[in-house]
Amino acid sequence: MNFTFKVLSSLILFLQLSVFSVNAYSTEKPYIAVGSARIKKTVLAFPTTRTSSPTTESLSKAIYSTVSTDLTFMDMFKFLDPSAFIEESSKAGIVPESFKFTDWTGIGAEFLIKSSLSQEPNNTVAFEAHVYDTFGAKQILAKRYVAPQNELKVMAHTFANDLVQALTQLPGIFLTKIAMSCDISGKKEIYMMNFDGTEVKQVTHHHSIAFAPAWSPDSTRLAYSLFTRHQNNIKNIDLYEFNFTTNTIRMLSNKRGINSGAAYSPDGTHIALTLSYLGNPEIFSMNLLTRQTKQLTKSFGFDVDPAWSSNGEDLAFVSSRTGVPMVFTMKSDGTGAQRLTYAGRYNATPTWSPKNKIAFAGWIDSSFDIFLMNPDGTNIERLTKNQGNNEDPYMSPDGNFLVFSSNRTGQKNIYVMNIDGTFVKRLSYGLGNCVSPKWSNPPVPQVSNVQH
Amino acid sequence: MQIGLKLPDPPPPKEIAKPDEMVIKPTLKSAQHQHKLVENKNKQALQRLKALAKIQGFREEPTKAHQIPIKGNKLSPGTSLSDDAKEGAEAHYLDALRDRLRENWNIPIWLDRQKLNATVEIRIGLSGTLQGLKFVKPSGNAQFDDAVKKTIQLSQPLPDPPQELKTSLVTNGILMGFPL
Repeated sequence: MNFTFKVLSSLILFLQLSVFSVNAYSTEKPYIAVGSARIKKTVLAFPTTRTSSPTTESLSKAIYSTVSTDLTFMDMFKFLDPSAFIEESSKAGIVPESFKFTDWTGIGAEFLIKSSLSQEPNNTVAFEAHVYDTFGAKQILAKRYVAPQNELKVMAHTFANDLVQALTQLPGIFLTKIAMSCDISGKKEIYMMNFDGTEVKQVTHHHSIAFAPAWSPDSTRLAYSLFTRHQNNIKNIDLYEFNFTTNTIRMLSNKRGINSGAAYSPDGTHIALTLSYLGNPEIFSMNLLTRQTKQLTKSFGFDVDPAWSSNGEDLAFVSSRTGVPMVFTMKSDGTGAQRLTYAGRYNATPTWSPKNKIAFAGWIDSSFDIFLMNPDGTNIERLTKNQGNNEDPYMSPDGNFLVFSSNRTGQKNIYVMNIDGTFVKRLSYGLGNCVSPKWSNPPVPQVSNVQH
Repeated sequence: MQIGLKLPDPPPPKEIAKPDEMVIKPTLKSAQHQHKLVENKNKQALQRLKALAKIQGFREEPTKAHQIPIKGNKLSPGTSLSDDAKEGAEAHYLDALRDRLRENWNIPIWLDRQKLNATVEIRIGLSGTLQGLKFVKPSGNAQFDDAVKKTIQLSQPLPDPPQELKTSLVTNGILMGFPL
């Protein structure tokens, strides 16, 4: 009887507490999901650079041209027409407190670039730049760049990089390069060009088939595969590395069979590559110091196209272990292989973005197209369609662009597009068929002297 | 000898009455009875009408008395709606609020590509004035959070809350997800 009473008391107490807690949360706040924002280009004002001589005035125009071209390439910014400016330039300065923000907010400028250029000793120039958030009425960047006159363009690219970094917190791409394999010479050689397709240079002269270039993380070296002949005239595909600092070439791997598809680890200590000396093409990791290799995959199908994640912990790759080639991921030690793609007849060349997305080329209808997905294979987006074959996607270091090859005009050329598939622009001209573009990281600043 | 069969004589035809002939015509007696019934019914109807008229008169009399401001006899306009009506008013207001915010909700491309999300709580005063704003879940990106703050500030004055939400929007506030 006593026990029953206790049980009932406990039950009543529990019910009372339950009621109390329901009451405690009954004043739930209403919730609104505001929804997707409208996307806008950021409006910049870049008034004339203050100069001290006709020479510097001419140079300042070159700086303006480079910076505005760089930022326009990003497809994120737009420059206000100078005819809209209302500030009296003769009375306004470039440093804080020497001008009125309202002169710029009034015409819709969100960010303002104030600058001066002066002649310095030893044929150098000094470019002083101040960038302001006009609506926030604060300075977000102030730097002085000193460089020889013949490196004016590099200096302008460096400033544009800093400006993008200050605005977006992402690295600028204006000093990056794109390597590729082109056949204009009749053979296939490695070429490189600026991010925007300018300043094309031939890197290799093997008079053979050089393909599958890969940049080292510091952008000072370029690995590539080459058709060679070993003893007794046996054909082989070896792996080489071009060093831009020393202008030298070294052989990295010449095991029997395929030595191809190299990808430097983000820390630059290892290369992931495909080797076939055991018979079946498998992915290995090679220590660049010791040249020792470690087998990462072992399957009945072929395993190729390794691509590192930004943190170096995972690798995406292509495997035919389940029949048709599909994209997989695994840990960098070879464990935990997971299949990511199931659709299409052939999925190839995955590339991992710094924003943790994987792009790949997929044979889906009657052609290859570029797709983007999460690292777990979800949320697949198609980025190209009905424009010939689109292959070899590779991410820009800031994750905003994809460079790829396409035969949409007949010949294979290199193109770039925004990560959402918009703003497609052709980069390669007159180089024959070009494939396998690879985007470098921003290099160590090359300006002679950068003063912060 | 002649053998002959003699058919029996056909039965005499039955008299089949036509339907109208089946109606029994009222006799004089029954016609008098019917007349009485009608009279009774009319009498009853008149009595009912008179009774109804009396009742109506009784109801109309107190109308003058209604004009006397006696509190207990008067329906108040009310301070709350039924649950359905209240929910309808709330939903309508939240839609208006979201529409106002969307007019000013824009971000640069690079922020959009980062797929950021923030949740803020705001309190709204009686005439739609912003009484308070705090980030319940910041996005982790200062520029994005600034854009959220700017959107709310630019959207002032916010829509005037309906009567039934005035108190709760000041005291409890409202949660808003940018974008979800």
